[in-house]
Amino acid sequence: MNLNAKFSKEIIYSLYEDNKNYAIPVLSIVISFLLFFIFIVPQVLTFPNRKQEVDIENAKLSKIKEAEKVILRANPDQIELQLRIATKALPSTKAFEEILGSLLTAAALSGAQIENYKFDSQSMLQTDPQTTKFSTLLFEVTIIGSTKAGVEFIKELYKTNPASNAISILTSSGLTNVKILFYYKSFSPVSIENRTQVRSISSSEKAALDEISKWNDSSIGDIFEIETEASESATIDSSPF
Amino acid sequence: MSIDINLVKIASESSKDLRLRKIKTISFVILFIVGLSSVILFLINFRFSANYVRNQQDELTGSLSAHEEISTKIFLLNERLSDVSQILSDRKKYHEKADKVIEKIPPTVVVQEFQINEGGISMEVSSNSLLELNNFLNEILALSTSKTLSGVSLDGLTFSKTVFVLKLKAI
Repeated sequence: MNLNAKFSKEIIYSLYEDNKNYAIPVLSIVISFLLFFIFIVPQVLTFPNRKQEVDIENAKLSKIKEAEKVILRANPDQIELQLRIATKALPSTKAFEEILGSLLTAAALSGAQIENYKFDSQSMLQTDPQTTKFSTLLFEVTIIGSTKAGVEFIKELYKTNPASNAISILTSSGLTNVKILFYYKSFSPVSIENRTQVRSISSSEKAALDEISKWNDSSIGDIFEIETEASESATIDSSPF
Repeated sequence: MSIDINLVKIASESSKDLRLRKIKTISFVILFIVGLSSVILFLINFRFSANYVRNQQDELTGSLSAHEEISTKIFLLNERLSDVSQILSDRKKYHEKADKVIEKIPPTVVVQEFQINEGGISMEVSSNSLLELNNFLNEILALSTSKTLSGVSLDGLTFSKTVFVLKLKAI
């Protein structure tokens, strides 16, 4: 065994002596192969995934840059005013006062006489697909008069804050009953991420803003200044307060 | 003889050296190319990595923190206007449809009952004149032709004493 081992050592030594000049080239080729397969190949193979990730992050960065432009260009007074207008159209709470005001305003401007009204915060909400996103209050308004009176009332109501949706009109025995949904939505908490995602107003939002800017103000004080006839003649069945 | 042997030996060594030099050159070139490629890939990965972009995002987000109040208001405005826009586009236009139907009712025809909701329009009208009811029915059918209504059905026509009563449904 010892003899064999010694013989093997001598052979190896002899082989080394004969080929030692090849050691460095072989080593460099081995390093090249290792580098190629351990570093370069994985990098190339994972490139599409990493590019996708970078693209996503770049898109976020673009949004933040866009947000920066919007923020730096914004006129604080104008934003404040627009936010106030939008919040009148879609209040953040159950705005009973504004709703009552809008009913009286619409009645006054359309010449309708409200016979009575009542509200229900629970019933019939499932019939409206928007209720999954917004909270609603269902009001039932009975007007003395024909369907035409109800139509005119709705026309005016649709031009009065807060935003409403007449989901049913029923005329019978000289009275027209209109079921109306009023919307409200609380303000969501604003995170840092939200603030970096602000954007310019889209064309549809601009159109909506232009429309609601022309709407009648439904604050109670203004209503009684506009017209008192309808409210005086109306018999209020139930009060929301 | 010995000179011949030496000459052969010298020729053999120089060929070996030449081969060795070639191998060395090739191996170093390969190592250089692979090494350079690795460095370039590393730099590309560093410069165009998601983390590099995230750092830029963080820097920009930090610079925007000075405008917290206005950015909050703009975000709320964006959200609210989007909601208002949705409400306005989705809200029912029943009053417009009802208006188009009732304007077709002749003065001699009396509306006993009119209802419009998600299920469509149902109405009951009466008149002393069957001809007037017929004219009204034709007008309603014309609305169906002009796509204001998508369908009209006659639910009933009765005569009671001196009055004809017509029941209609439309969608």
